[in-house]
Amino acid sequence: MKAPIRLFSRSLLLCGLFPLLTGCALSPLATRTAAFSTAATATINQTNSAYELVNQTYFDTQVALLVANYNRSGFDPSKIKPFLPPADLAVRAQVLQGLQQYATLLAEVSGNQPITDLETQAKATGSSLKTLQTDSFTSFKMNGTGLNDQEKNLAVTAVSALGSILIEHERSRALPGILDKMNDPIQKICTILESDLGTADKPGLAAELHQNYDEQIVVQQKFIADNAATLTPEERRTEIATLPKLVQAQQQGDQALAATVKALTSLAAAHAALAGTKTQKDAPAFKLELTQMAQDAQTLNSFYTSLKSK
Amino acid sequence: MATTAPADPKQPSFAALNALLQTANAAFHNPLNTQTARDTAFDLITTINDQLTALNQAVFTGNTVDLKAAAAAMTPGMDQLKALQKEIAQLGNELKEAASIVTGIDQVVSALAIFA
Repeated sequence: MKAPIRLFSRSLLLCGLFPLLTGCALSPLATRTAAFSTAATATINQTNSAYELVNQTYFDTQVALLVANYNRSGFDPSKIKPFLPPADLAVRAQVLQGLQQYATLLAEVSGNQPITDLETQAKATGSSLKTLQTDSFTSFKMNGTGLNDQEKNLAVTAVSALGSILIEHERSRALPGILDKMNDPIQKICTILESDLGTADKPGLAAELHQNYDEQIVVQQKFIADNAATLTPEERRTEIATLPKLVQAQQQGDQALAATVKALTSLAAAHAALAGTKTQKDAPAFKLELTQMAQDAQTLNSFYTSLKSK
Repeated sequence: MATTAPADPKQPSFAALNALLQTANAAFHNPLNTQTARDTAFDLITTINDQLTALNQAVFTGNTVDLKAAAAAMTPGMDQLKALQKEIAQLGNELKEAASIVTGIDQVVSALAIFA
């Protein structure tokens, strides 16, 4: 009679401790950090697309100009150069890779992977023990003193819970300081990337993109005018039909770059809010910024997906 | 007190070139102009666009130094983050070991029972 009572009281103790221990497995800050990481990744990935879009449009414009001026100027391969100098572009790629690594590391240290791994391992061990119990060794178990499945599970649960506490302790000791330290460079990087892109009415990549489409439209109009006498009606229709497509592409490009700037602004604001609310349990200010950032990242994604599918 | 961003020294040139571009565009599209005048306007458009491209490119290349500095400032925080990740991974491994010992007790007890 004593053994079942002991088992019951041990189970009760562990079951009682479990929620207390694991209730704080992921702190509010860790949860927020993980959410920030996910939304930031989408923005960072698509910022690369902005540079690709501007470079590609510039190249397309060079090709259009070459065709328009070929009879007068011929073809000089040395004039075909990317708009964005490769060395400067490589710095952006490195910085974006650094931001990506930051987001990935934040997700890793904020997540519950070590505990999930532990539970996976415990499950695997549990199943092999089950096999052991069904064979001839079962009969050699000491009367009531060995660990049954329920007790083993509870023991592993207790280890998991203690592990969660230890990990959370490490996390809460280091993470706030890291977020503070990273905030200034993140703000500066986002501001510089936004300045790279700019707006259509200021010097920068957005102005270049808009201007490139304007130039392609003028070149196309010149082509139609210059060849009016030789184009068949069908060819003329095809060439004229290109004009509204260029206008549409220009509008989409403008929107994509404006959305990139907005998403970078949101990323910076969300990181500032994450660092600023590090000691708060509920952080409504961060949640607002995160929602905005996630929406902007989604918008951005849809713009570039649509542009790439064309 | 709110601070205002310093004026971009490229902005006046940018505005002047865009004004010139508008004039050149108007000349190119004017049907009353001769073909030669329109061709000249087209060449002018190309030249102005090249100048605007140089201004736009200057913004991009001019930002590179500042961007490198900002990226370098990430290093101490990143190093701390990597150290934290390593510590958590180490804790995870130690926990796995602890769990193996706990669940392994049963096997030992079962094996020892042979001699009981």
